[in-house]
Amino acid sequence: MNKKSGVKVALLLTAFLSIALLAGCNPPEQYFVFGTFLEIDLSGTSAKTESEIVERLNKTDGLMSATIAGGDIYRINKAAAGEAVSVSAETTALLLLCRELYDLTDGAFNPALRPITALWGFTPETFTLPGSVRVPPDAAVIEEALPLCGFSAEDFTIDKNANTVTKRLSGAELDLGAIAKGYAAEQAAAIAAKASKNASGIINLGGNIFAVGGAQNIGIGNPRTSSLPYFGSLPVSGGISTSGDYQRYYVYEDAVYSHIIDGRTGYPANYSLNYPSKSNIISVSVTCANGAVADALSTSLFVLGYERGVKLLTFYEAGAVFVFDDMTYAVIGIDGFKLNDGAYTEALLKTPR
Amino acid sequence: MKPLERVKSIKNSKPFKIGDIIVVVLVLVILGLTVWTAMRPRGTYAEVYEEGRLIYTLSLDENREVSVGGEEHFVITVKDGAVFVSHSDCPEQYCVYAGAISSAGSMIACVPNKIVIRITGEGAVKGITS
Repeated sequence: MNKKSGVKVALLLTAFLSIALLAGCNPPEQYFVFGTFLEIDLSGTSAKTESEIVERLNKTDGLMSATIAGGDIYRINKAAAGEAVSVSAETTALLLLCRELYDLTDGAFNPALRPITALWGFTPETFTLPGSVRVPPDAAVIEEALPLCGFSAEDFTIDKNANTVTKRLSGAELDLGAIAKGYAAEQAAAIAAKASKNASGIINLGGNIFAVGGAQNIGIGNPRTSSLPYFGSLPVSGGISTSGDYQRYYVYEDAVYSHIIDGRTGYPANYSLNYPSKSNIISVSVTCANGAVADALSTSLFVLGYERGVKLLTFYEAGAVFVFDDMTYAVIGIDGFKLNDGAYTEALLKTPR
Repeated sequence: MKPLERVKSIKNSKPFKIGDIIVVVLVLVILGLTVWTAMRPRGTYAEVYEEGRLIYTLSLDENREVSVGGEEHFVITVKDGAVFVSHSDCPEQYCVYAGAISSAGSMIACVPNKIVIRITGEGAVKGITS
């Protein structure tokens, strides 16, 4: 009798174990919002929380998108010079962060570059196939558009009490593409964390990742060799965003034109001829407790290069993994980075941190 | 029962009854299945999602081609243990340029067509920033 009931217990336990193991393989939920994909890969949350996240991100996209009619940024872009456009407090706050970054980077991070990114063919309406051959815009055309692309306090007056934005020049246009997705990823993570103390995992909004419920192991996309999906990995407890030259670019007469435009010059950051101090970064990933800052800094560091980048990281208490065009990499302010692809070696750099 | 009789009765009794044997075999089979499921090499299936709904599960061991919404629209090819987008009618073509994926957790997203291809299993990383 005792033996039999022992067997029954074993059988029951095995059945439970099997069900638990089989149930543990739930694929993450996928959505399409913010003009990109959203992956909610969380345990300990409900379907209600997930739909709340999607709803929230759609609302934020409506406010921040340059192409969704009626949104804050859309209305600023369509407004005439001198017209005070009422915006949400959320938009005001994000634009003020943009202003801070614009000032700190001497305009390398520039949310007012839309007239020039359109010339280069990197706005959604003027799309170019990656790696395709395309004639770059004429130098004279860029020079003519550049004065329209300032983001100083005079160019765009932000009234944080009245929540209004007034631009100095008609035709000046904003595009928060270099900051909004990191901002929204954090927003989504905050909703999940607030809904449940047990929530754990990641929010991935088009490659901008925000961790929920403690540090998560995150891979950095491989900028060159494609046999391995990530070149290295690191534990991330806030947000991480990456800017690289390998996703959107085109080629003309042996020069590569990547989608990241230097806000100071109006030329792609990696374009050697018209660039004052060529950036030799092919990919840079930034970790920061603030998702918007992580996103914006990845662009800023890609443009500014290693040395000025490191100063910015210190200012924002952020960390970064740089990958350079000689297949070396440097890790700043991050513990636990692990190399995954032996094609890369650590750069011999003096790290001022 | 005297000690000698007890020894005798133990010697004569069968160690297992037929029912016990069935139960033990069942337990072993379930255990085996569980271990096989848990230990099975991950990253051998590609799941194809359209607007968040799973529409295909493709074994990477089997070379094949599937079309989503007509051949001119979106074609996925499984070849030599990897999966890639061989054709897409989207304007951006990121999905085509993404190349072939085969490791657990890797994915290709075609935003205009709202299609995601993802290799099953938990990878060594939770997600990839790019």
